[in-house]
Order: sequence, then structure tokens, then C-alpha cells
Amino acid sequence: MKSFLYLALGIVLLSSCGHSETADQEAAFTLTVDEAVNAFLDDEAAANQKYNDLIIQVSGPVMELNKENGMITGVKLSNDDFNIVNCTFQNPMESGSLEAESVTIKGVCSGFNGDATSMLPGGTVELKRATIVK
Amino acid sequence: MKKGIIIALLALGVAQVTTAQNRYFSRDGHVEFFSQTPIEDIEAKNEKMTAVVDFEDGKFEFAVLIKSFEFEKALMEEHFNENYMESNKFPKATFVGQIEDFVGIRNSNFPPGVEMAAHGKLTIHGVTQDVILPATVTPDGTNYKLKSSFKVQPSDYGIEIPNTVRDNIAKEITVTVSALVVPLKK
Repeated sequence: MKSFLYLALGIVLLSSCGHSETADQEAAFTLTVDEAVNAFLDDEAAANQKYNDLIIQVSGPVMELNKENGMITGVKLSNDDFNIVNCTFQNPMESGSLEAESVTIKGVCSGFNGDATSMLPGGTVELKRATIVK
Repeated sequence: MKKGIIIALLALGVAQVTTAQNRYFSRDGHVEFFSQTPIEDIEAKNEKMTAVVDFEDGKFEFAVLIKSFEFEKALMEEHFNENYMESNKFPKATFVGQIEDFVGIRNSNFPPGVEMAAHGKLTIHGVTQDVILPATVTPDGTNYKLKSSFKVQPSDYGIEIPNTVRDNIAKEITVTVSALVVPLKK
């Protein structure tokens, strides 16, 4: 009876858990923004297999900050405006706290959002629960 | 002959620029879905939807990566991707369509409260259905705000819900899509 209660409690705790902090975890791969995008442009299936669901660390120039309600919720890195790494922060940052022209970020890779048949040129490597490394 | 080729190339270039200038886009559109049952409410958000509207003819498309949806609970996000959406196999959800009478409404500068209908193909979980999505467009300076809210039945897209959690997930899920689209400069 006691072990059943422990098991039930374990299941309840596990199912209500949030996500672990990306900042506390090591990146599986370290890439530049161009290397990340080109990996998916060259062979999307292979890149999905290699990077998806893993924490990847990406460095590159800041193209745009994503903002909501006065907070910075993410950042886009790119060298050319069309092939982009788009990151959503795990913890939004105060406006004005990210002013560097180039940053290194790590986050969980979700894959590549782009399609040659689309009206929108280029594509986006997406990272979620991202955090600034430097 | 040479002059003719140069003129043709210039004309083609002008045509491409014109096409790009008539398109408005976003790479950080917002999508959220909400499932409500007496047992639990489930919601998830995705802030990286791509959306494009061609203001010349009303063509409209959007795309999201399934793995970019974020849930509050880690286990729920894992189940969503692995058990229901099979996101390794079907990584994207897309809509490709056309907004009805777009040119007329555009020429009237998108009167407030006018709801448009986007006819097209919605693909989720590798299954494509013909749908009509309601949509509103609101001018915002030189940009435009797009919004659409619609219902999706998982069973229409081959998404199987196991009996053990059938009562936890709504038969119809409300999806809300919004984006601030800006001119596409190519």
C-alpha cells in the first residue's frame, strides 16, 4: 500500500513538472548561425535527425529582438535577413538588457521552418527555451 | 538583340521587386491552441509562426513547426509531440490559401469589423483538408495585423487520442493565429 502511494505521488509530481533550465545544461553542438542554417538547407532530414530536441549553441549577429509587453522574448540571428536562427527565451529579459551586436545563445532545437514553394524566401532554424551564453 | 535582352532582364527584375513589395510577412506570428474539458484545460503557444499575404491577389499562407509549441508541463509537451502529433514524422502544420474578395476589401482600406474568409488547404499531422478560415486584417501604420480563430477536430487529421485520456482532450480544439505583417523587401 505504501509503495503504491509513493508510485502515485511520483506520477503526480512527474506530470506536473516544468522544463529544466537550459542555462544549467551543456549544449550538444556549437555552431555559427550560417552553419546552423546551411545544415538544414543542405539536408533537412539529416539535420532534423542530428539537432532536433537537443540543446544547440549558436553564435551570430543580432538581426532583430522579439518584444512583447515591454520585455525581450526572443532574438533573431542572421547574416542576410532571410536565413535566420529564431530563438524564444526561456525567461524573458528586461528591455534594454540586450544591446550587443553579436551574441551566443543556446536553446532546444525545434527544426527548420522554410519551404522552397513558399511565398516567403529563406528559412528559419527555431530554438525554444533559449538563454544567452554571452 | 543585346539591348532587347537587357530590357527583358530589367523588366523581370522590376517584376520581381514589385512582387516582393506586394507581400507582407512575419516570422514571429503567434499561434495558440486551447482544449477545455471538465477534467483539465490544455494550452500551448508558438511564437514563431511564419505568415505571408500577397496584397496583389490575397494569397495567404502560414506555417508552424510542431516542436516549437511550448507547454507549461514538460511531460505534456513530450506526449503532444511523440504520441499525438508524431512531430518527428510530421514536423510542420501549414495553411495555403486565398482570401476571398481581398482586393475589394484592401481597396476599402480594410473597414473595421469586416471578417474575411480564407479558402485553402490546412495540413496537420500529414493530413490535408479543404477549409475556410475566418480572418481579419487591421492596418497598423505601414504594417497590418492579421488574426484568425478557428476550430480543429483532431479526428479530421488522423490524430488518435487513446481511450485512457479521451476525456481529457476536447473533441474540438480552438486555434488562434495572429501576426503583425510587415512589407517584404527582397
